[in-house]
Amino acid sequence: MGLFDGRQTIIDNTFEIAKLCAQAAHKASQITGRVEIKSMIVTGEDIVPILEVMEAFAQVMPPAGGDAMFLRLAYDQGRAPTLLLIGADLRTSNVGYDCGACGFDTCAEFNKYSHDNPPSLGVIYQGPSCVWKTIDYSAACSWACAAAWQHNITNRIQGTSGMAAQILSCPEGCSTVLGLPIGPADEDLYWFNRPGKVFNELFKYEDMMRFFQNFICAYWESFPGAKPMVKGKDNWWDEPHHVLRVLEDAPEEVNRFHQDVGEALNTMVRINIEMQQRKIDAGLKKPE
Amino acid sequence: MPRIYCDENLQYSPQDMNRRENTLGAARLIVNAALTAPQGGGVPQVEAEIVYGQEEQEALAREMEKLAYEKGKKFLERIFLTESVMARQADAIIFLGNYRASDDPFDVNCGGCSGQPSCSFLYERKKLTAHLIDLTDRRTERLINGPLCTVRVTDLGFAMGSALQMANRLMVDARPFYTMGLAGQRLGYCRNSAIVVAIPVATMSKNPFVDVCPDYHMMAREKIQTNVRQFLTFMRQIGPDYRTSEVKKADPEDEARIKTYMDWMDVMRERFLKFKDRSKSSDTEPDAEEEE
Repeated sequence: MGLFDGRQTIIDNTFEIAKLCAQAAHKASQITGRVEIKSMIVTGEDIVPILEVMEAFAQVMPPAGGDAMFLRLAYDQGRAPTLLLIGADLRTSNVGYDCGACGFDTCAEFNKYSHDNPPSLGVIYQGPSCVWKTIDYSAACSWACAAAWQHNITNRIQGTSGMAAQILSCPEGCSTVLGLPIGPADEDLYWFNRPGKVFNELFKYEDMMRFFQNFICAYWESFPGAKPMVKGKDNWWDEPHHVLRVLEDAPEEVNRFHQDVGEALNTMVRINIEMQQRKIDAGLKKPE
Repeated sequence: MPRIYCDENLQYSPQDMNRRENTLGAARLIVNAALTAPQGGGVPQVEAEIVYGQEEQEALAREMEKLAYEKGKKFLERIFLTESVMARQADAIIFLGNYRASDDPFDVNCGGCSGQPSCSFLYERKKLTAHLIDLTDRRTERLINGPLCTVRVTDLGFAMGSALQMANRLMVDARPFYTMGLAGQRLGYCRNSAIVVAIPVATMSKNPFVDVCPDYHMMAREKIQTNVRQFLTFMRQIGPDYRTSEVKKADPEDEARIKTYMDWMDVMRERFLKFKDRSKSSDTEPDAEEEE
């Protein structure tokens, strides 16, 4: 018996739904039957280290900054989503199909390449990835999203929060991690009710146009080759359209860049140590 | 009021076809669920094809049986042969493929295919024309023309997960298969895709995709049914003509003697010998039983 505030109840309830989503992810059908799905649920202030890593990557990976902004906003409003992390080790192939989908003739060759070529920091998927295991793994993620959808709660599968969690080895032993923020419970933040006030402070119309012209063209549309250019203005045919002008960096800028990288690395190490301590406190890891 | 009668007992009979059409309706909804799954960049990239019918499923199963012996690996032979039975037993088969996986990568340097933050691993292994992957070059010694873009493959996985989730909601038995997808690809289903996954669906009293015994292809349900019918036909031949005579009850003394199978055989032998002697001694006597 008792009286409860509905809004607060559903915010707390995201944890319960995250448990059901994790259940769905582990229960999903698999083609290979050999993918060990690993999952971890992050609630409350334990999301902060993951947010900090995402924000550290914001400069080189704008989507990470965007996703972090949403999560940070919800966290500051006291309705932080529960983050369900779903991961698996896709770097070793034990399926034995020898199908060649990964680009190697046999699974043994794939495993050798995987062993000899460690992945670099800051990639969303720590490849190479076995194609059939990847399909099974993403079907598991799909089931988790569907479980969240059945409970009428906002959710969005994210590579960025997953990448941040993977750097902090949450859950441990995964080559690929995707994050599934479940919530905010009360009002949707990503899809339908984007807060105009916040966005208008951050981005102006000109920013958006610059973003479209420079970022989207260079990265997403015009990979060396013949995909069409964006027609950025009226009479676009009058003069050739240049997306970026290449200039040599000034020495002081190079110095500043090196300092920034050094600071980012220091931050990353600090956050990692903090996260490992949090995992030890939560009983998910043995102290060394 | 028209009546629609459904039953699975006779394969491809009208009542079975009614049932199969219901499954086909579910398959159409499952395909829609697959197509509505979120895709990277919001671009369409998943194609789907529904295949059903005796001819089509038999062709698919035979292609799988051909593939079973192609690689010369025991493990592959086992799964190809086992799953070829399921291709025959399914009501309909859904093929899902990603037609951007091989020749139109996502180009975001995600590291999925090689672990390095560049797409060069994939581009180096493809034939390029004007810096784009030339999709006409389909030559390959492998089962699948890799490497493939991992983001696209992940999106195919999302579509497959949505399809399975929908099948789950519709209470239709479904299971994803790699082998069936390969065979379907060879037969030209989802022909634009470099990678194809098959999801057979079935609505029967026994889910044909689970509880699989060793050498499943040797003990398929249809074969067992027809073999039982053969013994039934054989047993039916020992009765007399139903119009002229009734089957007689056994002698209670004889019946009391029968404790084991061998006792029964003894009684049968005695009866046979008695019958043989009778026919020798009384060749000309009319058969009393026939006159009743």
